[in-house]
Amino acid sequence: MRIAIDPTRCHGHGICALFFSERIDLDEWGFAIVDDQPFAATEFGQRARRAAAACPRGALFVEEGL
Amino acid sequence: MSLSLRSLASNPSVPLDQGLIERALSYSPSAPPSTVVAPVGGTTARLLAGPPGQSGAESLESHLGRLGHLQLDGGIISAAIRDSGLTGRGGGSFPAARKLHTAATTGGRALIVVNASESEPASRKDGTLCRLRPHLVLDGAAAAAAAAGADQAVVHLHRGAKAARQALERALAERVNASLPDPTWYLSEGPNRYVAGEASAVVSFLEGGDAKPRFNRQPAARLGVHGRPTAVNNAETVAHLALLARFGARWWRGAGTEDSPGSRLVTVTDGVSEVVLEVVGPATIGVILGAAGVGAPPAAVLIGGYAGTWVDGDLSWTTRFDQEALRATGASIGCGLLGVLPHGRCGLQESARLVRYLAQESAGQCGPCVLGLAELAQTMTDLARGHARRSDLRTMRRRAAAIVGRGACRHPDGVVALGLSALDAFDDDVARHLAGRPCRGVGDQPLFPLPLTEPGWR
Repeated sequence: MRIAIDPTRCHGHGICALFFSERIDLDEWGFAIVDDQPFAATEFGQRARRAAAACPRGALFVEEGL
Repeated sequence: MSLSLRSLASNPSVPLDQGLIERALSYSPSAPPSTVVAPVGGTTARLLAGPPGQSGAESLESHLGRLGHLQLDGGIISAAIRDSGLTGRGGGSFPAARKLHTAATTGGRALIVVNASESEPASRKDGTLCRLRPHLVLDGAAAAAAAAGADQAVVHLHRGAKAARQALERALAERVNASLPDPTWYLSEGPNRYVAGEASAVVSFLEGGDAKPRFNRQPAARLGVHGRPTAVNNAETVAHLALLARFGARWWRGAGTEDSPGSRLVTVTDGVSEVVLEVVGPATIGVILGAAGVGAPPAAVLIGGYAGTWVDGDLSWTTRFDQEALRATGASIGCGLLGVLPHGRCGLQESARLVRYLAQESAGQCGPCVLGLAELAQTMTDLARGHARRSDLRTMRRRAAAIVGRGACRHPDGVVALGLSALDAFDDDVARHLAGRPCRGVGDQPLFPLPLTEPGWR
């Protein structure tokens, strides 16, 4: 599984970084820096889906089966 | 002509200067055509073989008389492209065979798009091909269509490329009259903006949207215009296909180098005029510049495009013009632009102008690009004017690392690379500028053309 971002949609709300700090940080302007390295669904799956669902802009997407 | 400052900057936080406004007024998009000279590195031209540049567009009769008819066998053409190692000539250097194979094998109705938009203001190679050898471009598109199993091809230009458009329209009429087994042709014109020529921006435009780069989870060759497998290829790449499809991979690989096979078109600009040359064999940048009339090593050379890299003049003079040799100097062929910085000009000042221009040309879609490039433009401007401190440059380097790879397209990456290369190539100037002693009397007008941003994205 991995999480990735569509940078054209990110407006820097920052909710994602609160829900999935292991893979998402914010830059100095508040935009998400997303580490899209794969992780086990069992380890971070719930966090990833929650972060993606919480984004008001729908900027994040989770890819499974990796 | 009334000119409001606001019309020049989509991003108001990017510093403007009078030099930019004055030069923009004097820049004419329909400037006289560039000169074409003899091939470099060899005696036989390939793309530019045929009637001299002054003769204008080569007719269909002359083209077929010189090269013979093109046999549109998709299998043979695909194999030739694969064996050739042809990579994109628009700056991306993506293997042409792989792109066309993806378009051919993804289900659906494949589409060929010839990207002749040539958004780099100083690049003239694609416009020259369209103007002088339109049948090479169109034959190549037909060959690409055969390889991809497509029956439609779009040639996409920027608005304002009148000579290229006229030549293509006349050539298309000749082909229709001759009943050539071509795909169905479409000609499209998009806005003349720097990022509008990016492949995903062209796809977006062709779908009826803005000519802005898009974030895509799938490449266009898999999912492009209206979901169709779309092969977007640079006009020069396509022109190569016209020759490759006729004479085969071994002949085609007889030009260029082992690492960068095939001939390449290069535009040399000194800010006043442009020369387009075809590099057919191993040649140093010095030999290429010499052929374009540059007599001795300049202060520096801008390699690849405005969002390219500066390399010291003496070093670039003896560097061979191929990807491997350029990589060792931190540069890349890009769209084949070689911009000459003469002695007596300030590289930091010209770089600041370029970064300001490129920052304004952002599509404004991604935070790191809009804000990061605005900051970069400010720092480069401060440095050029002698107002920057060493800590500003440290911040710049740190920010640069944080911007790269975080946009929907490679625009911010390129601008960052340009800025960082300026700090390296002009390190002596950096020291003086940081000490509050910037270069003086080194040019009120920008060296390289910085066209006014066209309003709108359609």
